[in-house]
Formats: sequence, structure tokens, C-alpha cells
Amino acid sequence: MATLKSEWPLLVFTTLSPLCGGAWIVASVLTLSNSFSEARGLTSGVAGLLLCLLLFFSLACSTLHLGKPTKALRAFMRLGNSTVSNEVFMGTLFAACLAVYLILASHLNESLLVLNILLIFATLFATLFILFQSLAYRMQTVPTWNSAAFSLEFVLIALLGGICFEGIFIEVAFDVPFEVKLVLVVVEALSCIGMLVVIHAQTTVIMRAVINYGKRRSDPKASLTTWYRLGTIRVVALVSGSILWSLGLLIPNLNTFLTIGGGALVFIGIAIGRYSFYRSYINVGLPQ
Amino acid sequence: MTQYGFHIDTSRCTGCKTCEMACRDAYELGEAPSFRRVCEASGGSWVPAGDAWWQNVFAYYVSIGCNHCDDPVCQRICPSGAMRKQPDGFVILDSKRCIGCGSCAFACPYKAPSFSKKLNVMRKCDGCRARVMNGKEPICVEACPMRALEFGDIEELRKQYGNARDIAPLPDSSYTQPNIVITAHRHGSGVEPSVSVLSNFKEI
Repeated sequence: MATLKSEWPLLVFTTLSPLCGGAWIVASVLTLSNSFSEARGLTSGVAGLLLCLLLFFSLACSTLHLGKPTKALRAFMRLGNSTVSNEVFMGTLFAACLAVYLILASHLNESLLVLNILLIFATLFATLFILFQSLAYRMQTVPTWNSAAFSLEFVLIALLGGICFEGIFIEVAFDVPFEVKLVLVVVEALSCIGMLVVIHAQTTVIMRAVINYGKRRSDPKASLTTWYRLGTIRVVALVSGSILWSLGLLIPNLNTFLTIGGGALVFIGIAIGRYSFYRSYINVGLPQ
Repeated sequence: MTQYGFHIDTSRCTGCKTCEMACRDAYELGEAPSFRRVCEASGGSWVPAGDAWWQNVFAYYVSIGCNHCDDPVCQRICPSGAMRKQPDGFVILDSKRCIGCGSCAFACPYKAPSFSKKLNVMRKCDGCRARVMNGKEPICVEACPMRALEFGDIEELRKQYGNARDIAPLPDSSYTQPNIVITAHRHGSGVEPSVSVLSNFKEI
């Protein structure tokens, strides 16, 4: 399918941007709940800057699949026109708010109230961004995308990837109480279980679509076989990655690379999921 | 408001693709995908008849472009507001507003919009709106040597030919409410139409 060649920027965007949104929400909750003494360092400083750069990179990537990338802001100006324009609007607002917060955080160390208000706004925009992104692919005419299982995937990417991302920072640069780490590991484990259920549900959706609409394809069974193969790699990467990440975070004196390696495996699992998503495109009508 | 539409007589269409070529020529599409495509539906097999075997293979053709649907999914999904259903019923793509994201192509079950590498925006059939405004017929209709295509007020066409809008390999009309009337080929009609597949999916 030609889509894969032309839509790779979307693959990068839909992998990284919900991950950044989720990471920001996790960092924001830890900061606002004052869970440990240096918690604000997760949303500001190097950690915040890296998150911001990653988000801007993913937003820049999202424009690269357009015929006219320089006109991308036309979608930003059309709030309410479609779920895609809502997604673009919230993504831009989230990135702008995050950047302003970072700038102010480096200059207004004493004005916690202003910073907290901005932090709450950025978190709200991040949440709405993930919500609109999860709805952006709900097309009635594309049965492989138009399902709750594929929408939920965005929320779980935010949770799973976001916690992993922040967990790596915590392990590398912060001294965090064991209880906080334990809470992160429990939420990560629950998200991972949720993702496995979602992958199972997605497989059912794909099978139904191939049976009902895949007859027009040259080889519908081949696309199903590819889905199974990619799904297996995805499950292995997500589960083993989550386990390694959790062990690295919870057990003291274990190598930090265990946490980083586990996190990397989770990110790979997420990216494979996005690749499978675009690859599984089937329309109710004529083939693309 | 007049809602225009097409009558597609699949019992007459021979799959000559003159409609497609006339459109490509008129709009100078070059190597870009066509606005109108001719789908070939085929089916049948060997069947036993007493001690002998007989075959019931068949093929018929459906010429399809933008159907200027009543519920255009392309308009619903377009993030830049470039795709708009006009008061005269045509679904028009404003190429000055289009950002070339391709969402409409993903969503449209008739594959009407396609990406123009030359212009870097989407393009689609506009029903030859300029010709229609001057009292002429769309170029594909005018070119059809078998008179398998007809254009006009959809209500008039429905009065004349009925309300059928569904035939394989087209999607169920309930998705977008297309403004077309189909006169079905004998293998595509009846209580139990013959099972067919789209044979030229690579071509279209």
C-alpha cells in the first residue's frame, strides 16, 4: 500500500505525540501532588526541555505528509470543522503552553502560583489533545480504524509510553521515594494489561474487516498474516519491556540501562502498533 | 435547489473507458489518477449440468466518479474546510484551501479524491460544474458512446429509472447517500445478485 511510504511522518507523529502528552500528564501529576522534593524538575529543566523538543519534532513530522506543509496552520484555524482540525488545534495549543511554561519556569522560580496555573492548562490541553487524536481516525467508511479498540490505543500509548518516559528520567536524574516508583509500576502494569486486551480486540476488528471487505484485495490472507506477525512482536516487546523497566525502577543497584532498555522496548512495541494500524487500512468501498 | 446526479446503466456499459479518457483529456490529468474510473466486476465458475460441465462466468462494468453525496464523508473529515457541498448540490474541492493531507481519500469509499503530485493538493471530479452552468452535460456523459451515463436532476432521474443505488463492487449507499441511480446488469441485480469480485483493482 502506497500509504506506508507517504504516511511515515504520521506514524512518527502518532507514536511520539500521545507519548509526550502522557509523559507531561504524569510529570504534571507528580509535580502538583508534590510527590517528592525535586518533582518540579520533571516539568522544567532538562526533562521538560527534552519533552518539549520531542513534541515539537513530532508536530513538525505531522506536517511532512501534507502536500503543502507550510499551509498546515489552515487546519489549526478550523476548530470544530472536523476531529482532525480539533486534534491539530489542541496539539498546537499544548505545545505553545508547554513552551511558555518552560520559559517562565526558568525565570519565575518564586511565582509558583503562575507556574501551577500554566501547568494545569498545559495538562488540560494535553488531555484534550489525546482525546481528539483518539477520535481523529474514526471514519465510518474505514472499518479497520472505526472502532473503540483503535481509539483506546491512543490513550494507552499516552499512559504506557508516558509513564515509561518519566520513569527513565526518575531513574537517571532524581531521588524518588520507593512508594512513588511502586505507584508508577502498578499503573504501567495495568496499562500494559489494558494494551494486551486492546490488541486482542483490534485483531477481532481486523479479522471481521478482512472477511467482510478484504475480498477485493489481491491477497487478504497475507494482510492478516502480517497483522499476526507484527502483533506477536508487539506483544513481546511491550510485555518484556514493561517487565525490564519495572525491575530497573524498583530494584536498587540494578543497572540503569535495564530501565532505559525496557523503556526502549516499550517504545518499539508502540511504534509497531502504529505501523500495523496504517498497514491494516481497509475501506468499505473501492480499494485505495 | 436542484441536486444533480448521474444515472449509470451497467447493462449498457462495455467498459471502453471513453468517459475516463475524455475526462483525463479535458482536465489535463497527465499521470495523475483519473476522476472517473471504470470498475470491472466479474464472477462465475464451472457448474455441473447433468453429465456435463457448463460455465456461468460473467463480467460487467461500473463507471464511477464523485457522486456528490448527500452526506459527503470527505467534507466531514476535511480539516481545512476545503471540501464543501455547494447550494447547487455539487461537492467542490477548493484547491486554494486544501493542504493535501489526504484524509478525504482515506475516507471516500468511491475513491473520488486523489493527490496531485503536480499541484500538491487533492483533486476530484467537480461534476463539470462550469459546463453544467452553461447548459452542457459533463464531459464523461457527453463522451459515452453507449449512452450508459446520463446526468440531470436526481429526482427526475429517480422518477425515470428508480431508486437503486447499490451494485457490486460499490459500497453500500447508506454510508454517504450518493446521488446516483443504477440500472443494474442482469448479474448485479435481482433478489440474489451473482457473487462478483472487483477484477481490476490494480488498474483503478
